[in-house]
Amino acid sequence: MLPVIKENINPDEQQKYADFEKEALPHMNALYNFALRMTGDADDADDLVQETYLKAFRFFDKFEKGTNAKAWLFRILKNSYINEYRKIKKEPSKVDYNDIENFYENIKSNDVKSNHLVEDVFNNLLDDEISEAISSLPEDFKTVIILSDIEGFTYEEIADFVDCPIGTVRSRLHRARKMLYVRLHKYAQEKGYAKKD
Amino acid sequence: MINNDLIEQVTSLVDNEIKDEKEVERILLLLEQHEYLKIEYEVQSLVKNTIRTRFGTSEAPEYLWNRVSSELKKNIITSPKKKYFNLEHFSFLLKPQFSLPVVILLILIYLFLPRPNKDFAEIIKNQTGISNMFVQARQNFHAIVNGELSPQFISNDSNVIKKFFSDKGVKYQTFVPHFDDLELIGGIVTEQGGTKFAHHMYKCKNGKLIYMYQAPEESIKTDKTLRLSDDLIEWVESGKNIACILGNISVLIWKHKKNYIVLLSNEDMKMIKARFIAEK
Repeated sequence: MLPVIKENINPDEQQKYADFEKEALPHMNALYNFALRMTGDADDADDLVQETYLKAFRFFDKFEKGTNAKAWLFRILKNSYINEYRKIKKEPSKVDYNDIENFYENIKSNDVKSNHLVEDVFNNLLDDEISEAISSLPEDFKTVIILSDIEGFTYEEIADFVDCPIGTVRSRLHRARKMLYVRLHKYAQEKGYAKKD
Repeated sequence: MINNDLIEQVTSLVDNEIKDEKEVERILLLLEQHEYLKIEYEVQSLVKNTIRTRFGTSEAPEYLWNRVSSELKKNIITSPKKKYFNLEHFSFLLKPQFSLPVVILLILIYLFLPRPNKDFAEIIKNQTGISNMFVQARQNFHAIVNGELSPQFISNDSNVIKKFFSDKGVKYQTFVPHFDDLELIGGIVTEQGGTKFAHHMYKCKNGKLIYMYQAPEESIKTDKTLRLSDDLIEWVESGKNIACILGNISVLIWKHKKNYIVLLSNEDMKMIKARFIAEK
């Protein structure tokens, strides 16, 4: 038997752990998903989520009960991501936004005029193709799309997360959706679900 | 002409971000009046709904839940139960005849009270980040104990292990001491930021494990491929006590020549100190 220093767990710490378990752990799936999308690597996502929880636990005293724990955890994850993971990860290749804009305007009006607003077309796409389209977005755009359309954060929460004005969040969302529309439309064309322009 | 401001108001509408009903009505009216805004609304709604309903989300794997939960439990600060004393027992000190001596006594206590020192175990517990040498060492140690990480090279000869490190690209002088009562098991070389790092393990006669991870000073202090917190570096370099027990793990961190060494073991700290502190 190993000689171990006998330690008594402080009841306050026990309560802190119980509260933390209740407030923070239910958001692990959301954090993992976001970490996976941002790092693009399952091992990095594991480490990032673990690190987020350890930091969050350490600073749990500073968390204001009754406020949005999910948003608080995402902010901690973002800081770890920026400090530890982003610098070693390749950025997706830069997109020429003017090209996107032109293509978008073209297909958007054609689709709508031909009265099949690719809804059925998009339904034919595989889930993987949709995930791939999101992953291919530049990081700033991918972040706002995931936070808004998948995680359901408000503009205010996203603005706080990405540290920019609400107007910028809205503008990025608008542009990100354009890019996704173009990307998904191209997949559909390649598969023959949509007409070539 | 396309008005970007109006289009972005459409974005807000799609995201249900406009709380003023009159404002919502105004934009809905604009959608009816302007075809391009209506199309914009439909396209953005379609993309949003497609993502929301079709984006493949993954659940955090079960091992991650277990890992996080176990790491959190390790971080619960353990401390002795608080002892309370009854102030009423000291109420006599508030009597006027005691006031001057009490003040003098308090001043003396303040002057001579030892200032609280940072505790080595606390510094260790505050190490975070995937590039932190202690964090890596702790993860590796648990992986070895759980049979998830094995030596890449097996030998009980310290010179052979050193040669293995060097052959595998470890550029610094490694420290692999030999002990008659410890069996050297083997070594592992890892790479981070283009630098190779050396790890080796010993088995004690009672089956307990000793794991050592060593890295050159410049990797931690100059190019920062690996990290240790500044207070830990300062602590180690000051030659203070560099041993503690976390849970049931003996931890020893010291600097040997130009290498920082993190040692973790499930063996008794006395035994570890006797071998490695004396050896260094």
